[in-house]
Amino acid sequence: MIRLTQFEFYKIMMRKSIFIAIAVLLVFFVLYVFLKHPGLMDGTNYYKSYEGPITTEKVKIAHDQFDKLKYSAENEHKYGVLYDIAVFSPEEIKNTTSYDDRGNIKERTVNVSGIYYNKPWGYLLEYIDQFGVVFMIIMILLGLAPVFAEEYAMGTAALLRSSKRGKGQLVSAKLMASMLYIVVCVVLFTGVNLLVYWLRFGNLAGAHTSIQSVGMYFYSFDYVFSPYKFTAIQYYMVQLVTHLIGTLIFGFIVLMVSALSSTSFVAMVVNVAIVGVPYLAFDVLNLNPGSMMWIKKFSFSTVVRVTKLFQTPTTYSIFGLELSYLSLYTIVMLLITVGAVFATYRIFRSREVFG
Amino acid sequence: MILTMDNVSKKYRKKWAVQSFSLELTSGGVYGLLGPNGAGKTTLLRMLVDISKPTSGQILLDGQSIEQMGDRYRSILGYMPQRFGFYNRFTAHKFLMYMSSLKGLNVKQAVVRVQETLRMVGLDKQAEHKIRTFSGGMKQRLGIAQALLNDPHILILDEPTTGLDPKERIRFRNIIGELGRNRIVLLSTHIISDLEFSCKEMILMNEGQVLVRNTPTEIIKSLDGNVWKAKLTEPQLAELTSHFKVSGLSYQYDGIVARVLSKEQPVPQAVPEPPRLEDVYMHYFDEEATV
Repeated sequence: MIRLTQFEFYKIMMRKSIFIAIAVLLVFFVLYVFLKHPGLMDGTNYYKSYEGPITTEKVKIAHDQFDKLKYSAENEHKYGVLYDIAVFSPEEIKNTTSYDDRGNIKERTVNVSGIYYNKPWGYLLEYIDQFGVVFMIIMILLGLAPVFAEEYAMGTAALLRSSKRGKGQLVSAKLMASMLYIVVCVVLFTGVNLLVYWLRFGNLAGAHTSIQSVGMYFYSFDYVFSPYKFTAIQYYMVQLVTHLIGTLIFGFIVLMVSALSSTSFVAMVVNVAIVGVPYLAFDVLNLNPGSMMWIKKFSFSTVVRVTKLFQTPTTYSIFGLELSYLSLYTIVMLLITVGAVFATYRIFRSREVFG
Repeated sequence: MILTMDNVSKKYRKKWAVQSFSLELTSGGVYGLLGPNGAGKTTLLRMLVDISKPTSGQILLDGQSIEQMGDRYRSILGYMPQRFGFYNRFTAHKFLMYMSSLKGLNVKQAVVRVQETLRMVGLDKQAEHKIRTFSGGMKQRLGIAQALLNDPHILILDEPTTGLDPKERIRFRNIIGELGRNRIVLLSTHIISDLEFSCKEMILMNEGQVLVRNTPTEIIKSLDGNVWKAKLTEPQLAELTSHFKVSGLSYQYDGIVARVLSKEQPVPQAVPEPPRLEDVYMHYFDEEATV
């Protein structure tokens, strides 16, 4: 079984398209990081004098200076500190109202009343939500859409299925090799992300600050309303594991579609439609989902992006049972995954092979 | 060991590819399945190797349904499909190691068997070459090698000699003849010379059904007195083909020599000829045989 898995992993990894995609995506990502932030990214020194609880005095100073300060590349760190103080000032919190998807006012269940330097984590956490989802969708489609479909298209399915292990263990080996491929991709991309930002910041300061206070320079405080009490590093691990689980779930769907398709191209098109269309419509183009809200809420890209699962304290009432969005999403995805894996075994075992 | 096809039928949409096919194969000989393209040979073989389910009827090995036997049945099976692809990035050795692991051989057994089968098909010197560099004939030989990896008790080969040159064909016939001594070998082909020398029994099949089953000698003998040879001109040949089946033509400087199938003397100059397998092919399938 291990040997069979090794062969299947080799079959996935030996495709030229995989290497080209990895190279192109990594070069693109590194260029993006360097071109978007050409200057020094570390702002530790600028935050030092402001760190700690937010006082009225700090807010006043921040407001005074913020109004006078004109943004430029040279003073972006100072500008950033003042911006953060303004965002977390009691006055700002009181005067700002945010609404969730149902139109309800969002409540801050975990309050942050301090200012901390944790910018490296803002950038690290942003990766999975933005590039991570795109990179992994591309890698999963390229790597896994052909896993079964290619066997039909090449005419090897008949050879494989007529062998002793060709109906049961082969499917298990293909599933395991695919999981291994996903793990390798996730580790590679998040590893490069971690390394690049670590080098760009020169530190990973703020690892133990609360996620509600984590943001990038000037924007993206994604977790201000999060009900979860995680530190940045704890959440980073949670995010990574959730992202990995999400990519595995998507991987299983891709494999099931692959087992149903006669060519890799068909498998890819169907899978792009399943994950790409909702992602493009609701996450990239931000279209109003209307009655399609359930698609937006339970799309596969949501779990690969992770952020939305931990952003708000939304709950759902299912047969009188109050479930958090995260719990309900987990149940739905678990059912889909079990169904997809079961279907993949069944399809490959019983499908008439014409090739 | 007895492999039984009991009233097996297979229907694709509205068309019956195989219809009420019954046959019994026993160890110790090569069975030749002969029929034109579209006769249902490949469909029948797919059912025999458990990758396609019969619409009705059952296939039994020593009285046990092969479907129920599952991987126990497939573990004693060697199969070479008619058309199949290879992983071009693999070397011949790696491909066979992969197939060995699919066939349930452990590493030790696999290493030995891969060497043996590569030698058997004459690819031992190209073992580490990438498959993408192989010619059609070499790929065909590699296909035969993978079918033999697990030293199968039942060997099913679908058009195995397509793409092989004459020398390779002879080597292949010898291998098959040797293998057929103690196992069931079913060889499907439309090339009659594949069967002429090595076959214990021939099964002639068309439109999904068995037409004749017998030894090659008996099948050939059944046409005794029905084969004629005559030297003809072009117009005579045209006239002849409109009334009789012609199983072979040989163009010579002074005319055309035709082999004609007929119960009676077709033309005055025709002389009786001993029948051959290509005459059998023409007789049953009404088309010229590929020799």
